[in-house]
Formats: sequence, structure tokens, C-alpha cells
Amino acid sequence: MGRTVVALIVTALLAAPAAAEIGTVKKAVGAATVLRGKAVLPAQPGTRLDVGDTLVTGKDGRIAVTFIDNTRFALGPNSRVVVNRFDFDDATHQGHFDAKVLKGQLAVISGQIAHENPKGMTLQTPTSVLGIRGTRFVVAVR
Amino acid sequence: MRAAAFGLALLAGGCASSSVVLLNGEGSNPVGAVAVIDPRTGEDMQLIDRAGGRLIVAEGRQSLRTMDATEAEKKYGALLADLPEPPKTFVLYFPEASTALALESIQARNALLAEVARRGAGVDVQIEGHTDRVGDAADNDRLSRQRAEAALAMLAPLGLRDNITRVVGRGERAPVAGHATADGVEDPVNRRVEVVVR
Repeated sequence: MGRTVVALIVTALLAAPAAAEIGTVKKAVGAATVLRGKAVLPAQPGTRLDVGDTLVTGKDGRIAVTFIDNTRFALGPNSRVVVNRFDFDDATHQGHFDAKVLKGQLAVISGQIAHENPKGMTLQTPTSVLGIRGTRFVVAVR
Repeated sequence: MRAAAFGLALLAGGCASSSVVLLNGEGSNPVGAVAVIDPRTGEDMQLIDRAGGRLIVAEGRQSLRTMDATEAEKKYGALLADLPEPPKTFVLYFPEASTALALESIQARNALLAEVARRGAGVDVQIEGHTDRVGDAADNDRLSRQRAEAALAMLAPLGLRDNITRVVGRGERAPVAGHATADGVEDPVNRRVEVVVR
């Protein structure tokens, strides 16, 4: 019973407009945008991210993001990264995270999803699928 | 030979190439591992598990290299410096059945407020309330939620309403490791709110 009540509260929170978010932009420099559907949003500290968002930087641009499982990203200039999948249970830390580096450079420190499940996190590039077991690394695509 | 093959690839127009370099863990954290996965089978085709290990995947072929770990840090120095700082967790304690902060946690509360203020515009905060196993489970769900809201109220003066990602009460179901007591047992360690500052 109590469990149901909390489940309802949690569900209600997740259903609230701000709560589909999966991460927050911590830093943005130069040409830095978030593509969401057809919208082009400026990336700035505090910008909330959703599944499906594409992070894009221009030649002087950089973006840093922390996800809610504590995974951290830093995109270098001329980069493009799309978050295809992110689901995370913050009670069990189980979840799945998949992103694709379409071009440029991405530094990563993995978080709870990769920590909890060796098959939980993948990063794709135009030529590979990477299984992320942790923890700190750089992906470059040219 | 390699140059010739690369030249051909360029001529073919399909010169996409990706690389991944594994680095030392942050601070004193251990080195992890990254695998190249066969998308058809889901099996690992290659694995790097040493700092400086580097995989280059061009169309259809992959090569394993190593880089000096220090050199790798230098090469990607600017990029790595942009990584956000690690999230920090604060734990606030509460007396039995109470939503008023325990005196011993005043310092932790002050440290929490300072940290949230220091991180500034991009900060997000997650607040999770808990209880021990005194009282029934439904009451404890309510109490844990109220404790989380009490912590939220402490942050209110910072004007961060939009930066609070989640406020949840988890009742008595998530005791601290090593503190899973029998029902009805009082345990001050579990009467807490955990606040993650990202």
C-alpha cells in the first residue's frame, strides 16, 4: 500500500513538465545549441535535456552536461552528439543509456548506469558501437 | 601500405573514422574498460582496459593502439577540463518522527547551501527523504516526503525553484547499507534526507 502511494508520487513527479529531463547543461561556450525535434534551443547553464536531444557545437563551441545518473559529458568544438535512449531507475540504479557521436570529440566520465550494468551503456559512432564499462575516456569522430 | 589503403578509402569517399582512448579514472578511481561491440551479435570484438589504450575503427576494420597515458591527458587537456565537477551528496539527519533538522546536521546544511550557491546557474538538486522503521509504512512514506520538503524549504532562500530536479519520499524502504533493521526498530542513521548536488 505504502509502496503504491510512493509509486504514485514518483509517477506524478515524472509526469510533471520538468521531470522528463535526463540531464542539465553545466557549461556552454560559443556556438552551442540543443536540437529538440525542429526546435533549436540555445544551450546555456541550466538548460534541461530530454531523450532525443542533439547537442551541437560550432567551431568555437563547447558544451558540458551532467546526467541524472551522474554520467558527465564534455563536447569539444564542431561536435554533434544525440542521446537516443536514457532510462534510469534511481532506486536500483538500473537503466540504459545510448548516445551517438556523429562528429567531433566527446569526453565522458560514466555514471551509475554503466556502473550497475556492464551492458547498460553504449556509445555509437558512424563506424562502431562501443560498450561502456567505465569510466573516463574520449571518443573522437572525423 | 597503410597510406595506400587510407588513400583508397579517401577516394571511395567513405573515410569516416572513430577512435576511443581510455584514460585513468577520475581522482583515484580505477581505470574502466571500453569494448567495441559487434552490432549483430552484441558480443565484444575488442576490449581496452588500460589507460592509454586506444581503438581506431574505420569502415570495416579496427586497430588497437596504445598511447602514453600522460600524452593522452595532454592531447585532450582542454576537452577534459570542460567535464563538469563530480556530483556531491549531503546527508541531513532528523530526530524520531520529526521534520525539524537535527542539531548535529546544522553544519551539513550550511555546507549544502554553500555548495548549491557556489555551483550557480547550472546546478541541479535531487532531494530524497527517508525514515527508520518505527511506525507504519504509510506514515513513514508521508514523513519521509515531509523531511524532503523540509530540506527543499532550506534551499528556498537561494531562489532555485527551477533547479530542483526531484523531491521524493522513500519511506522506510531504503535503509543505509548495514542498517536494514527489523520493523519497529529505531535507527537514527536512517532518519535522513540525502541531497545530491550536481
